[in-house]
Amino acid sequence: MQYALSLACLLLAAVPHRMATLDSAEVYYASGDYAAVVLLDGPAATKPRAKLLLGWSQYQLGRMPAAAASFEAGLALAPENVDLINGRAFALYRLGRAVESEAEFHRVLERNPGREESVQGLAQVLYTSRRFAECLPVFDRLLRAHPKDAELEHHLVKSVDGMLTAWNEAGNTAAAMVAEGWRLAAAGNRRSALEIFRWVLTLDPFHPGARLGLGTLGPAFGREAEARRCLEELLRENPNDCEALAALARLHLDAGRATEAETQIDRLLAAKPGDARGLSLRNEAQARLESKAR
Amino acid sequence: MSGAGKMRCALLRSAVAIAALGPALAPVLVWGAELGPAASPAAVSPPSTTSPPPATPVSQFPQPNASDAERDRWLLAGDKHVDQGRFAAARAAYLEADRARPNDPTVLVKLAAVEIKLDNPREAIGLYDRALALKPGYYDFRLGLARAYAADARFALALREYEGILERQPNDYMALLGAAQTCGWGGEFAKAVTYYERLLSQRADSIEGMLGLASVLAWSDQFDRSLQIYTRVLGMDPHNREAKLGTARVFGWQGKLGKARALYEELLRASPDDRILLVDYAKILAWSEEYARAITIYDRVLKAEPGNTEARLGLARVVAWDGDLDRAEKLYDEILVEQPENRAAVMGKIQVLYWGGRPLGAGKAQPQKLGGAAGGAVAGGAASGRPDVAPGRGGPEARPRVEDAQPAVPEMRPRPPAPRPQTTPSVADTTGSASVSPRQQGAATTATAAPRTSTAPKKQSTAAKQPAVSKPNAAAKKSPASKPGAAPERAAAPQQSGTRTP
Repeated sequence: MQYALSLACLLLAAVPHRMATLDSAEVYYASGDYAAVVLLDGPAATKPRAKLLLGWSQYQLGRMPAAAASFEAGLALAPENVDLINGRAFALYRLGRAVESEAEFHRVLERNPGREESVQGLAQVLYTSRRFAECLPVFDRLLRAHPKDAELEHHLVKSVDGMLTAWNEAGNTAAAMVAEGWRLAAAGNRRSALEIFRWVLTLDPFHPGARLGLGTLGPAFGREAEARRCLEELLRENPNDCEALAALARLHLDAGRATEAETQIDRLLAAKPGDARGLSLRNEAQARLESKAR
Repeated sequence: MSGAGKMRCALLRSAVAIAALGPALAPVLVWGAELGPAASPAAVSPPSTTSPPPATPVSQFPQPNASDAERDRWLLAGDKHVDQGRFAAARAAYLEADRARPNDPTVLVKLAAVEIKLDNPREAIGLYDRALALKPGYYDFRLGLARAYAADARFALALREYEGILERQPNDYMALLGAAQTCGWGGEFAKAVTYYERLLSQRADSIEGMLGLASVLAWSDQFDRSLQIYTRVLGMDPHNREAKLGTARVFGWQGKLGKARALYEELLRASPDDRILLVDYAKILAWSEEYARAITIYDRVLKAEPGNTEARLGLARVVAWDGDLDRAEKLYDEILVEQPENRAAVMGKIQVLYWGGRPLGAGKAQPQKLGGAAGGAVAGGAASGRPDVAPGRGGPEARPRVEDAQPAVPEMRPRPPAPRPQTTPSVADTTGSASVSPRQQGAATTATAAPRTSTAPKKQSTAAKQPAVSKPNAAAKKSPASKPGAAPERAAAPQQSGTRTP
């Protein structure tokens, strides 16, 4: 690495100053030598790209006011540069200027809604501003893209905790929290919904709605055993709980246990003859059994 | 070379340089136009397509259940009532929750906790049994059931539950504490000491464990060890009220009345209107034969709280010791009208009749009128024809209430730091486990009804030797038994108490 850097520097020595400086800055930045970037670009940066490199290098060195100033200087040259807006948003976030930072992130996302880095930045701003209800869907979206990301998962769980703690202190019932879980699930934020159900169960380990929620959504997130236990408990308390019967049938079907699913479907249809959901589940179970037989 | 040529050359050299850097520049090349991901603090891994597909179409999600919302509303209302100490209203709310969603374990155990508060431990036992049928072996429910059994004075069953928990979790703090307390309430002091020592081997700094052990040691007459532990607690927490109160009580039982008084007076300076302290202090005064002061204090307590049974009994006792047997009899009669089975009142009345030269059977009190277990006790006393308890012995005192070992609500939340499942007595002692001997409560009763143990045989015999016609005061003064240090109440078997109000 040192040899390569030396070689690159030797080669770059022959490049016209301004061009070589910028190229060198790129090289130094990529190699993590942020101080070198600052040294190179500090006095010479006149282009937006150079300002961007300089700003991020200062950011990496923890010089947030200087970083923000560099991004702003770049934006003076190229006001619509999304990278510079993004950089400024991060620098403002680190400077504790959450409102301005959020606005900058929104500006980036208006221009490039899929820019994940900015989505994450926005989520962080909302999270540190304790606006948990708003950041939950954002973390959920990110977690859908990166299901194994432990940090995102941590933030999502903490957001649920923050949101529901405040709800609880405000005197909201667990049923209201469960309803919010279902609302989020319906909007595609099923991981957030699952965490809400799990949180409610720490408050009331036998909450029927939360157990049904965990029983319904748990298997998709590797919590099949817990989900099954919840549903079976609900059915012990109320053997004719149609929602729990349907959810348990679905759980068995998705796990490839069509016979067990059929048992629950029979119970469901006995409790509620002609139930459309029960009939649909029955068709699905029978189709599975037939294909298995073939 | 032209400018353009120089530029091309420079770019070429740059490209060579970049190529030479190889992997070091990979992030730059990957970025493309965006600098951010590699540079920003929130870098993320590449998008993945492994996100779990929805297992259930959104349209199939269950709809919020109206009965759940109703259940939650009633539970919330019930919890608020519990927080405000309105247990009957809480019960009504929990019953509504039960109606909204029958067979709900949370509802059942909340209801059970309230039933214990309302002195209906049998209802609570039934509710915990139902909850355990729905969720067999659930720790909180087993703990609740054990407490409910203890509240119903079914100590053996309570202990069995605790031991069941300890089989699975041998070091469980709450179960060890509950088992220790239950053994203490059940009069199995040696076993209680063993459990407390087990608990303290796990958590040497447990103040409630130390206080519990100190009280059990005191109840089993191991005053010096008890005092050592109280001293240790006070070393850790110089302002610990329970330890101070426990120390004062042990001094009282040892007959070190001066020291006991000093401690009570110190405690009363901090809480001058504390009725528990006042009642205790009045007793010490009575033992010091300062009857007038004791009576004044009892009167003060009763003015503030006319139903305070301990104060009523204490007053009757001191009035008798002071020689006013007619008033004492009247005071006992007033208690017996409301609580016909109050053993302490029964025994007090027997004493008064005896001292007044009207042994039971010849006087006004009839066993059938007294009824129940107390009637049996009376019959026992009548059979001997003479009371075993000398005046000045101090009468029954309240035992710790088991119900107060319950947390206000079942532990439904993420387990908080262990709630203090302490034995805050209801009538005479709100200070916790440390203080009141269960022996004291049944003292007068059992002194007659049950054979004395070996702890105070001399005093008993001395007391028994008092002539039937002797004046109470004279007896109190002359008899060695009148020294509180040899208090016969500590010889009584607590489980025989009829006034136990766990």
